[in-house]
Amino acid sequence: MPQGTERKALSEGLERLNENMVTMAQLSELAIRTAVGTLNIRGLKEKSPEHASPQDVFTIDQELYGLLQKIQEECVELIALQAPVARDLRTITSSLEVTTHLDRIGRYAKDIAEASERVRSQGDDAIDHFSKIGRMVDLTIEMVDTAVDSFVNRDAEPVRNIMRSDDAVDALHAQLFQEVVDRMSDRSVSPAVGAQYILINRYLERIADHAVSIGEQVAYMLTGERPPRVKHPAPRTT
Amino acid sequence: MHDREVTAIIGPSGCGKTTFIRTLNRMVEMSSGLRIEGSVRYREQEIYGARIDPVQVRRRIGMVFQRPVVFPQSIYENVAFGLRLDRAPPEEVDAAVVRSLQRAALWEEVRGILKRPAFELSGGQQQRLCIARALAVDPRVLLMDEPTASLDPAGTQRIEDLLFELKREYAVVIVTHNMQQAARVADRTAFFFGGRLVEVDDTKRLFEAPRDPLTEQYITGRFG
Repeated sequence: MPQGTERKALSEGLERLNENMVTMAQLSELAIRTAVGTLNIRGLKEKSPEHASPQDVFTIDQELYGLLQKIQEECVELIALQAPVARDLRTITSSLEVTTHLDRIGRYAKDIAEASERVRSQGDDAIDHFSKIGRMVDLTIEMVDTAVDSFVNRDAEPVRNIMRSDDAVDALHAQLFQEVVDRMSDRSVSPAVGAQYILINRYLERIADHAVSIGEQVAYMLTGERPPRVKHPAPRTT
Repeated sequence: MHDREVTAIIGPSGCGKTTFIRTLNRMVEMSSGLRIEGSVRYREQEIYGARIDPVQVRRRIGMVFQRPVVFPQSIYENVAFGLRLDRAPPEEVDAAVVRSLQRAALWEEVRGILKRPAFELSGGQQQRLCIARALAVDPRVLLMDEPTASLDPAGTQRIEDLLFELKREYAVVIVTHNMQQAARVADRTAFFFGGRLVEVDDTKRLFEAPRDPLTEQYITGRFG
């Protein structure tokens, strides 16, 4: 075997990049957990930080944006100065891609927190309005967890589970949408509150889509192959 | 090697890059103390065949070296060198010299000074002059052994631009130590290690996701 050498500047740059990516991934997960904590839904509170407030989510979203910019700068610098190739190049371009998805997840968390505020302003504590939302939240968080772990641990295997969960999320999205429409029709939920839940439902489904995209990017980063998109996007109900 | 493509040969020093391309036009036979085995085919013809004239092989498969090999003659005579050996008629030589200098992207710089000694040209110009000389005898394949190793960035850029033009008409094989150069100019890249071809693939594929771990280690700078 050839004698080993290392590219110190590149290796250190990649290490720094990875640390920031891990931080960003953890923050975007925290953003979702905090956002769903503000929804006041039974069973979800326990999964969220104590006393989660929309303001916490807004703060995390700001931090995520700062990290996004920092990571983008780091990536451009590494490409410009270190001329990376092969796995190094794939790690950097994938980080650029993943960081955008993590930022978008943070934005949707912020949107959920805002919708949650609007629900509360209607004087509605929302507990147990909708049977499907707890499962929807669980699955979405699980998908983001899996996507982030596969990126951090450089393991493409769990990515398969994300694809499967996404089908379940899509199905739940359609069911929850119908449930909200039904409740608005029978007037057990006001249109003002129902509309917010339609939005929240949509935000969760979009977060799950971003988790899928992160998974696809991880698979490319690790193997150099772009996995085929196996399913066609489901028709949007909203 | 494919026609109308640039193939880059990369690998650490001593891996056999130069030896390999010197086998492609029988230039390797000019070295002493070697044993020749195997087969090199150019358009289905064995170039080491008993009836094949190595001089004719080198005419079809031209070579440009790391340092420009300029003869102590005029610019014109340097390009005309191979044609003179063929005793080509003067008007044919004139036309071929102009055509070759144009193809080597040197014509505009030397059209008024063709009688001047070639060594008055810059290093980059001398290298393009050598390319013009190789082109003058109408080869089909051009082998280049680190053609920009002794050039400054501007001279290197001229040669790299020229490669894009040359590959419209020729098959070009370039040995380079500079992986970024291979990435910039080559359609296909071959990685050699320890006298062995480890991997050859589309350049994009090889630099984005090489198949062999040894290639990965080399191009990412983990050894060599």
